[in-house]
Amino acid sequence: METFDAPRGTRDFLPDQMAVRNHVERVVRDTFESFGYQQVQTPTFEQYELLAARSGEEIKESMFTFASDAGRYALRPELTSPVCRIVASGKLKDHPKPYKLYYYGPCFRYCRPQEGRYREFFQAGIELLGSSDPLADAETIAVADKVLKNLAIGEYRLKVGNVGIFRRLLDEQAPENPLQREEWEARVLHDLDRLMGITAKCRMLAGHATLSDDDKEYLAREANYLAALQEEIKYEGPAKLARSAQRTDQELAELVSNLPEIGKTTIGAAWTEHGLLSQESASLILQVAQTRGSVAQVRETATKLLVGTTGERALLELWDVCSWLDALGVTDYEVVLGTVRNLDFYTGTVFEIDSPHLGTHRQLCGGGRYDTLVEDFGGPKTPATGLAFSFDRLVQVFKAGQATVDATAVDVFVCADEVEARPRAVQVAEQLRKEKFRATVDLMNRSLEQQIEYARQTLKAAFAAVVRPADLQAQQCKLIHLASGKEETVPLASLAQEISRIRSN
Amino acid sequence: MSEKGVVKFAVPKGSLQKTTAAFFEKAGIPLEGYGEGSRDYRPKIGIEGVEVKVLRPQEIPILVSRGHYDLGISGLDWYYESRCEKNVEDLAELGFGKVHIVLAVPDAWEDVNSADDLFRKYRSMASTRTLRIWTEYLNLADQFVFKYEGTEATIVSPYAGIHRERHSGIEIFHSFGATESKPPEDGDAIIDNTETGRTLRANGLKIIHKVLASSTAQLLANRRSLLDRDKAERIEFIRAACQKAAGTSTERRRTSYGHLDW
Repeated sequence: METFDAPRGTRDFLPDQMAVRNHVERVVRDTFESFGYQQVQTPTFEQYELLAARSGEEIKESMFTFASDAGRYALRPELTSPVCRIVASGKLKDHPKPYKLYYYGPCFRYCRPQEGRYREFFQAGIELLGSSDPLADAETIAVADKVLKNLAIGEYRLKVGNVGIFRRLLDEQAPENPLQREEWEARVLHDLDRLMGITAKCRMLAGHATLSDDDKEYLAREANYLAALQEEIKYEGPAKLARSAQRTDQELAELVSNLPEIGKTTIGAAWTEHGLLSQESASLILQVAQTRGSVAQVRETATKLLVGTTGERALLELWDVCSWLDALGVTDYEVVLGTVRNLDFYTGTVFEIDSPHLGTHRQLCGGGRYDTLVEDFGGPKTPATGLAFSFDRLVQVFKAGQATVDATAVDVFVCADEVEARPRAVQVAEQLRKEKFRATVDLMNRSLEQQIEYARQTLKAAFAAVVRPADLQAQQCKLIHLASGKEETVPLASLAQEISRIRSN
Repeated sequence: MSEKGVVKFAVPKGSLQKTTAAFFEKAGIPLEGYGEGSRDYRPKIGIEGVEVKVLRPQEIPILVSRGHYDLGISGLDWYYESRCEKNVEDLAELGFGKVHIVLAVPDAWEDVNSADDLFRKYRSMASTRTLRIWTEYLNLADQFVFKYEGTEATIVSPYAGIHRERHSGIEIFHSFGATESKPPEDGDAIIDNTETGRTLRANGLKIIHKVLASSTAQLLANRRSLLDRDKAERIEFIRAACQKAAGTSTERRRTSYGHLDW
């Protein structure tokens, strides 16, 4: 017979894994609920048009779609749109605002499965609809922070920004023709992403005494990319970089301190040369892109940079959110001024949480304000903010930590010595279940020794209760605390009490 | 029979040849006698226990799938077209040889600007004429039509095993090249690969849909070979070198309107 495996990019979760996943799920739910969120559940598949409405070609191609009756459908790739569909449909119109909704469930994407990327994956998140208060943004961030704290996840990086800054600065400069604009934006955003990547990486490497091979390769690659760009625009100046197949360790170490500046100059020159941006706005945008740090570190520079520009209002919003974060006790985060995260979707505050325990795909949580989506789905104008956790990565990071989860299935295994004791064993187990203990009996015809061994070794149960033929009259049984091996004879009437007593000691 | 543990490696002939040669040069495992203009079908690679053969990229996924080769390089398009995901693992994306598999129709059709438009147009005149789509990618085309219309199309091919009559208003024609030249008189639409879209435009066609966006060269391995310890070690060496040479993608991560990056 052919045996079947789970489809490519999907997973079976076995009992041990489910114990951990359920624990994480419970903590996530409890935390969401502690902020007054209520769960909603939506179908696993939606009309294709809803999910495709605002996505680009590549995303449409990465959805699992199917046709049935006369419609086209897609398995949901995320849960924000279904939630906004509910709001747009007016089903919640009798509920008081703001709506505080949370969800947890499987999502699907047709992708090349690789480490940390699956075709079926799980998301847990919240959406807060109806409030445009900066406190709503800050509270959303605080929920994310609280989830990680409640799971005792210590190491993570929280970055907070506002896409309004770049959105407005770029809007001013972008070509009006929509096709040109698309190309223009793709180019500018790619360069910005790249520059911010270089800046972040070099900042991280600045503290290191030696460079790993991967770091060296990264520096060499980025340096060659910039050198090629310089060649293309025939750049001559102080930031001139030579293309080189082999760089010495000394040269690479120098790149750590110089590359962000070289990148900024080169990309700025290329933008001007290619007529994408004026020198002045290129310089402003690039300085914004490189501004990051704690609130105290960046506050003054950022304010000076953006005063009087179209980005100023978004910056003020950002400071508002930061002071609310202070009040909420969220202090350990980095302000990233020039964030371009998901510019097609977000409209204001954005944040992101990464974990160093994850490989290439490090994003643990993402969120932010999206004030136009409900309206785009045909609903009333509704300010909205929210977040989503990659639940699978959350579990992965949780497992990398210290905390342990009880994966046992049974508290008390009730053994029967001889066949005539079996009916009593069944009754004892049932009595224990009424007292909220997890109790089972032997179903495999094991001898008494085998039953006790099974309870201790396989089930890792805390207790075994043994019913012997002699106990039937006496209304008692033998209770074994399996970890210590201590035994005692206990009247059935006080069995549950006795187990609770030993447990609490 | 080949020697135990020997890895048989199929590399592509044709348009991917030059870039594959350059890529392996960069990866530090050059293929001797494979570069441009070479007519050698059995180039040498400096790794013990690895034998290389040059084959057409269309043939490689299926040969790897059937275990005649342990390792191969081909485009993502032919990997999907060969429907061999069950037996073949795509180990690494090599990044070069990027093409899009697109659906194109005559430029002059102003009312057709998406796949939906095209099918709608033909549905409305189904009783009078059929929609003829020419392609070399019969499976991708078949799947594509099924995905949109939920019906099986007729497939027109000289080969009995491929030819399939259906009571359908859509006919997929098996193309043997110069696909872009078929419309408008011999066909209504084509599904073909394109790098820049220039050839299509030059032939009076416009792209209305990407059937498979950004297909690039992939390093493919037979799943069974990965279970053989000696082979797996050699395959891993090649994979690691390729992964390193491929570097990270320079494309901006595309995101959906969800909170998590796509």
